Amino acid sequence: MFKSYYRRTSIPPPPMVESREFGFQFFDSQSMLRHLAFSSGEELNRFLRERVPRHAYYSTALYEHPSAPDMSEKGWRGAEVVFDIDIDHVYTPCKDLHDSWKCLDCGAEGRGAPLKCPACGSEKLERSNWVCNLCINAAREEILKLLDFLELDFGISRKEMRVYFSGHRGFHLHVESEDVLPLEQDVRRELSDYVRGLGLDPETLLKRTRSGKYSLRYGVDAPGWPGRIAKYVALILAEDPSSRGGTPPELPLGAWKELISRAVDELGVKIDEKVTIDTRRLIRLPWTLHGKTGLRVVEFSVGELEAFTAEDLLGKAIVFSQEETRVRMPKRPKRVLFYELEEDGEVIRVPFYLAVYLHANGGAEILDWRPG
Amino acid sequence: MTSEQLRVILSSEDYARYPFLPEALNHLRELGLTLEDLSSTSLGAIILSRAKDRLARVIESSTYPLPDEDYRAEIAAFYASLLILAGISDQRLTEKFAIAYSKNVHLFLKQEVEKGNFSKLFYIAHHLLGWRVRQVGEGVMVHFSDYVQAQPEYVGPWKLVNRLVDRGYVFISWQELARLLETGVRKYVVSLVRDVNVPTSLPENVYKAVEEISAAWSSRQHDLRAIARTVYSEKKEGMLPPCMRELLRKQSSGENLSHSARFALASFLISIGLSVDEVLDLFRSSPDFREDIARYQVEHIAGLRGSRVKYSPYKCDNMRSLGLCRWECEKVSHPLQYFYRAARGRVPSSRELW
Repeated sequence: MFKSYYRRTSIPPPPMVESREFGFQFFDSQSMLRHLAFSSGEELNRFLRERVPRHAYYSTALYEHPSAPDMSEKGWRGAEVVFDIDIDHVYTPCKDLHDSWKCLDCGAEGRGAPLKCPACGSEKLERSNWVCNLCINAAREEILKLLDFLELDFGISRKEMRVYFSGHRGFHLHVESEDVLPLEQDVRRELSDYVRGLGLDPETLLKRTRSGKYSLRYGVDAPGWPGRIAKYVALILAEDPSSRGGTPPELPLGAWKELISRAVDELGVKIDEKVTIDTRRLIRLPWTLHGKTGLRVVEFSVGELEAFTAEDLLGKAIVFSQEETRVRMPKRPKRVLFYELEEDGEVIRVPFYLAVYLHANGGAEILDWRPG
Repeated sequence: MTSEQLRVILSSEDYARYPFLPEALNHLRELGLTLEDLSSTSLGAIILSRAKDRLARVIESSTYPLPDEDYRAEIAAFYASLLILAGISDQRLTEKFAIAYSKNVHLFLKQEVEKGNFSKLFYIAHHLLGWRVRQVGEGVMVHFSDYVQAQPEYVGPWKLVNRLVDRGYVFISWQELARLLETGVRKYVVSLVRDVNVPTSLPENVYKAVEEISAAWSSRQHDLRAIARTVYSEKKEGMLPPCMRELLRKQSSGENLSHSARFALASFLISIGLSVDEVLDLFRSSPDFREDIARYQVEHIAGLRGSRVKYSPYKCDNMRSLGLCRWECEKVSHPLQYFYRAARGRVPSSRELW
């Protein structure tokens, strides 16, 4: 089915395709084929049609010699700045409905997505992770927060940013502005810290008042984090009947620290910082199919991100048929994409594209195959 | 203050203080000094000797002397130093020179700010370094991409998260611009050295100068390595930064270190001159020690395998992100920095944060 998708589609190549390294994983093996380069979009599409990869990636970095097998010989010429919002890193209550785990050390099992085995503390967990519309909504909130930071604080225009659905559990935001291409790892970490609110020192936002307490140094109109925190504080305190409206609030230092810490937790973006910091990241190739889901890595405009429902967002990523099919899956998640799966029986009826997801990510057996 | 309105008038004192400016270089060109002159005339000898003296001071004490009144000799000595550095072509020495030199520039720029001569800072930032800067009220706005590449540190008040950032620009004071320019000038000086065209055959006295300084530099590095050996053999732990002391203590007491902790410790010890075997001896007490795997990994770190790149140890920011640092060491951003300073008798002050 993947084959028919690539046959009937022409993938727009990433900008400066000839300077990128590509990586692919195939259906018949676990290893990744790397250090591939293409001189044009047509060459890339020909490869996709012939080889039909399970997963396709490209480098955020631009290289002088992208196909050189040794990293030191590639000649790094800059890289996009990429942000990855992954539901793995965001708390969502729906994980209990669709994620499950099994400990490889002690054999314990359960629902949800803990970091360690609750029984023995081991980090070696075999996981079954799925995505649903609730997850996508949570991820969408994060990406919109991120867009805000990039536009308002860093002055990066929408023309210089592209947002893609990752194909499974989140979104990728690529910044292609010339200003960011040469930035080194330290600087990328600084940008990542910025959107997360990491390293914020509450005392830089406060000033001492005559009564010995503290108040905010900046008002709601201030730019950057100071303004955001001021707005958050104003909202929180407006809900509190005991606060006096109008005058800037005075609180003891400890109370401010607590309030500001909550603000950072709520206003900061939950990105996977490892992706942003890496100057040579291989990231999923837009418009290709994700091997675990059969969904495609599709681009969204900011308007679509703001206005679409989660169903519409996921809908844009679906490429396979809607025709109903039967699937055998004894153990299955309660909620996937925008469906609640029936609880009883081994065999259920679902649209074909969902069957593909259940099969690719959970080993379900598809009983009636539909043309792709 | 826009770029069109700006007109900066440079005095001879400015040439002496900022010889890296193109105007200063042009002045030197007007004098018609050639490479041959440097080697064979008495003026050339004075300039060469001054350059050597400067470089020797940088190697010994990481400082660069303040300029004296003879601005022409000062400019010439500066460029002669760059030439010698290009001849030696040692990245670490060039960086060391640029760091010491730019500290002086910072000092001068701070004085300009105090006198209200903002135009010179603006000139260096915008015209020399190509930064996007604008005067705003009492302070300055600098484009974030220029700010982050000159940021002195990634913690505390310099961190973007603690500043006003608006539509791509960061608000800073003129004093802070002076500090950013220290980094900007440092990088600029390094690029000047990199761009020097060293002729294949240097005139004799210039060549001798290159050899002399090169020898002084290697013997200095040799001394530090010798000190590293005594640290290990006499366990002079005071010279180790607190993070490494802690890792060493944990490892020696048989505690299981995480992979990144082991990498941090091993790469640090290799960097200060311990051998692969000495490092392995240290890790032998680990509960899960396996000679073959450990040797493979340590040899890799030491640059004896695979890509043959010697891995440099994590710097303080990374140590913090990995949860291996809970201290604050004054003016230290890399564990090796702490060690080398301590080895020279200037132990940095540090405090434990929790």
